[in-house]
Amino acid sequence: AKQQAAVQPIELLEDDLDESFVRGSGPGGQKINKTSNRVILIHKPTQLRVECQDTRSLQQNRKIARKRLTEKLDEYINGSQSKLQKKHNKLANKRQRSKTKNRARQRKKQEEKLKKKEQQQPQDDDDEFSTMLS
Amino acid sequence: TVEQAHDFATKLQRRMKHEPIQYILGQWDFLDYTVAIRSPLLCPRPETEELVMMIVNDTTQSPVHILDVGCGTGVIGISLADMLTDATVRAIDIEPVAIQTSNENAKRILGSQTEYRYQATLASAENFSPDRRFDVVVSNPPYIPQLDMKTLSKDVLHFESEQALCGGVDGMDVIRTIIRQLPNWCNPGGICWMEVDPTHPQLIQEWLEDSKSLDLGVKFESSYEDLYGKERFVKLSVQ
Repeated sequence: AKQQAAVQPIELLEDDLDESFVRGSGPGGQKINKTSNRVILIHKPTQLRVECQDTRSLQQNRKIARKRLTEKLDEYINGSQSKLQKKHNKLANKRQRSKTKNRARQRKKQEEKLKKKEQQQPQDDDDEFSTMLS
Repeated sequence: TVEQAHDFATKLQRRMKHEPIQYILGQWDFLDYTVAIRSPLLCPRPETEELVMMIVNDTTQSPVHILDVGCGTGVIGISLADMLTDATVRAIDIEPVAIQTSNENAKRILGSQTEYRYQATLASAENFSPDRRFDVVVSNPPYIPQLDMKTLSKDVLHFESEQALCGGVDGMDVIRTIIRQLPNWCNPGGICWMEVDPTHPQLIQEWLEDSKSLDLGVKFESSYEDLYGKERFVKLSVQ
């Protein structure tokens, strides 16, 4: 049997991260009311990078950026065995199975249709014949 | 629709006059919550989200009684009430719109049967004499030094309340009032968290560690940087 390389659990260490915000070097705090909440997160060892501006909350965007970077790192390190890839494979397999099932079902339906037609045809002929006879 | 286009055009006009987007939309997000924001209340900044998360991570006491001084839209106290286990929050402000908005936001976020968990009342820090003592006092008080006020951008200066922003000559007026009140407000061992101007942590520490201030009964624990590298938060304790 083919031996797969052990899947490495992915952990994002804060020390490996370079986080920046699009707010510039101004005073900040009460002095500024800018709603820019974009987070840029870089994983220094791999130089993988994500950006997030999904929500209006800076803290939520930081959370989402970390989640995305973890997924990216997972794919990078574990390749075909990353959680994301496994998910895709599961879905692709599911789709393939239901496709096959559908095809089989359609085929069965067609066969039954044909059978019914064949059964009906001879009966009609009989009726006609019997009517003719009576 | 025609109405939507007209509405959008009106809002755009307001924005072009530098009115804060939060006032135009009437709401904005703070952490996981969508909150009503009304003029002339201070629009919550991202630093204040950090303050709340710091307190949540640092507070293990349960039940915990919290006082939010200068509550504004109510975001600090309401977030804490929601995220901490068995927390009750009292909030004060001198602006009536703040009291109305805070209580409204509390109903929205915590639910309508939660008056016992969150209550905002009209009061100033100077004359607030609560009927109970608190474990945590939190505040994002007006902290901008007077001279810095004229350097503010139009959307802040012309629209947000000056009394929510300016803390007097050195920006410390309200901060000093709060610190002096802490022994009256807190249980022994009570903690005070504040968001401040970067010039303040040092001033506060020097003031509290001065021998003349020993009778204040308040200890400087630590200061913390915000995400932009500015010294933005202080943690004090009450003896």
